[in-house]
Amino acid sequence: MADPALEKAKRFLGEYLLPRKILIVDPNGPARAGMARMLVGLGAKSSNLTLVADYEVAREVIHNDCPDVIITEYTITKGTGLELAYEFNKFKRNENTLFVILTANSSQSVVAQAAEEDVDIYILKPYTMNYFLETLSKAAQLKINPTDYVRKITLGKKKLAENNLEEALQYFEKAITYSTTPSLAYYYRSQIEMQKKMYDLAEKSLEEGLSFNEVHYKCLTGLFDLLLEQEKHHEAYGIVKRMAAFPLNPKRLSKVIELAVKTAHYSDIEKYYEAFKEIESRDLETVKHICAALIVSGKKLFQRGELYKAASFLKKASISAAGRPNILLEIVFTLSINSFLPDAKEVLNRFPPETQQDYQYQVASFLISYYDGGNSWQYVTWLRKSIEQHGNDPTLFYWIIAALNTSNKIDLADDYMARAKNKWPDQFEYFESAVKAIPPKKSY
Amino acid sequence: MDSNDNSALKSAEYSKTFELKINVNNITSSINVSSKSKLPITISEFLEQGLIVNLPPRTCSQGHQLMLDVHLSEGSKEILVFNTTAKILDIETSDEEAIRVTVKFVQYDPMIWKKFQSIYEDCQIELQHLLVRLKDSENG
Repeated sequence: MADPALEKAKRFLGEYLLPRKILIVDPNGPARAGMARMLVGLGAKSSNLTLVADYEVAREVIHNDCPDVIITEYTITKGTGLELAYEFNKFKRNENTLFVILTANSSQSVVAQAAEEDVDIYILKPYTMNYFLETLSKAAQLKINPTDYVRKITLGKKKLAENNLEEALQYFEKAITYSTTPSLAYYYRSQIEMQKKMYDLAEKSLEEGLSFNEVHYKCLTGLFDLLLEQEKHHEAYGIVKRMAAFPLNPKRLSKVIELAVKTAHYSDIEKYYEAFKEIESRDLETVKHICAALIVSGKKLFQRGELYKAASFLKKASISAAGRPNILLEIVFTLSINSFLPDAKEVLNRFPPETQQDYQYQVASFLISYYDGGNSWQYVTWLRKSIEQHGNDPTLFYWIIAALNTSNKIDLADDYMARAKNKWPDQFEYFESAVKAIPPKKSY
Repeated sequence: MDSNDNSALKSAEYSKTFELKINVNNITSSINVSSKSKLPITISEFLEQGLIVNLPPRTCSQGHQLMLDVHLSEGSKEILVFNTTAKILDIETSDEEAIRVTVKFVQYDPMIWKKFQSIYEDCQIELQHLLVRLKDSENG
């Protein structure tokens, strides 16, 4: 027996889809074809459908054809559905567009990203076609028959995208009068105030928005971004705590980690590390931030005497470093000067084989050997050879100066110092600091 | 100056993900389909008494019978095992790495099938509600 609600949804979708240009993005050909067949069966015109497999082509279609509806897989060739959403948002859209992501990824942090990219529908695979149609219909109806509040906000957003700030502001001010809980309108008002660099007013707008809903996601993220912009680090970190009710957008994780270090919330770093581990695709910036945070926190914890916790942080950093030599060297250095030599040796094993002829590995080996009372001179000899072959790296000079001073070869060290200063006169202080770079061995 | 546990992000709560592991054997041709696949086998859609699955090419034909062994985990915990024998109704091919196969169940446990669907439906509703809430897009 036909479900009346479903049949109604199908009829509505038929009318909605008929005049609209639709872009379907999926690396799987039959999946694209299957989706297209279903949409045409509902009432979409096949001449209005564009089917593509990869991000670059999809981006071209968005730029050239301005589709009204985009249905995309999350994972597409040469990009992601979320990156496509970002592109879609940059272009002029009418009020009734829809952006749909289909994905097997049930992570709520990805949903948080999707929300920030203004994705309309997030469909988890596998799905039933009935659910897909009902959700699509509901979202389309909200677009076509918005409340006055939503209509004003949508118009305001359009003007904001056109950089017509005064008209946008008028729409958002009007929207405020249409709702008993206009947090979203206050959020967008704050965005205009931020663009005008009226930060106090922007903060006031966001707090006003939060007065109606103290956990309004956009107002909280807006306030976080605003406080960060003004370098009010402690206040911004306070917002992170207020956002604990929501999943963390992985893109924001880097900033949160940096803030945690700046505000000395070292024990929170471990929790961010756990969040970081769950992220499927990690960009280099996030990797660098989490490693730096773990290393800095580890150093602070060593200073405080929390030795084993410090070593644990550094071990985590070494895993996340994924073989990056500069990061591994920093970790070996910190562990070695704090006499955690077995841990340092473990980290040394994380240098990929192809990097073991590079100076970072040799310096790391020197440090371990020096602090272990072994024959560290062999590594100094290698570093000197390396300078003669690859003499264009100031960091290499830094370390040879440090190593020679530590090995009490002061004349040789001074010679390299002079060469370095001559080659890079603007880094005078950097090379001077190399003299005391390697502190004496500690005993606990 | 370190914060207490309550104030930091509850990262574990938002990192729960479902993982579907599917093992497929072609009973008719005695091929272990899973072993032919460079990519994990995935399920695209639930049908009323069947599935649409993405399989490696040249491992099955229309009318063949498959045995599917589906393990669903949430985080590290296995929450459901669904076994079925199913007949291939349709195959859509392309020159790409996977074919789209429509199967209808021949033998299955209806209770577990219902549970499988409802786990995903509940999660879908939760995620869509979360999206709407984060966007505040239904505020009026």
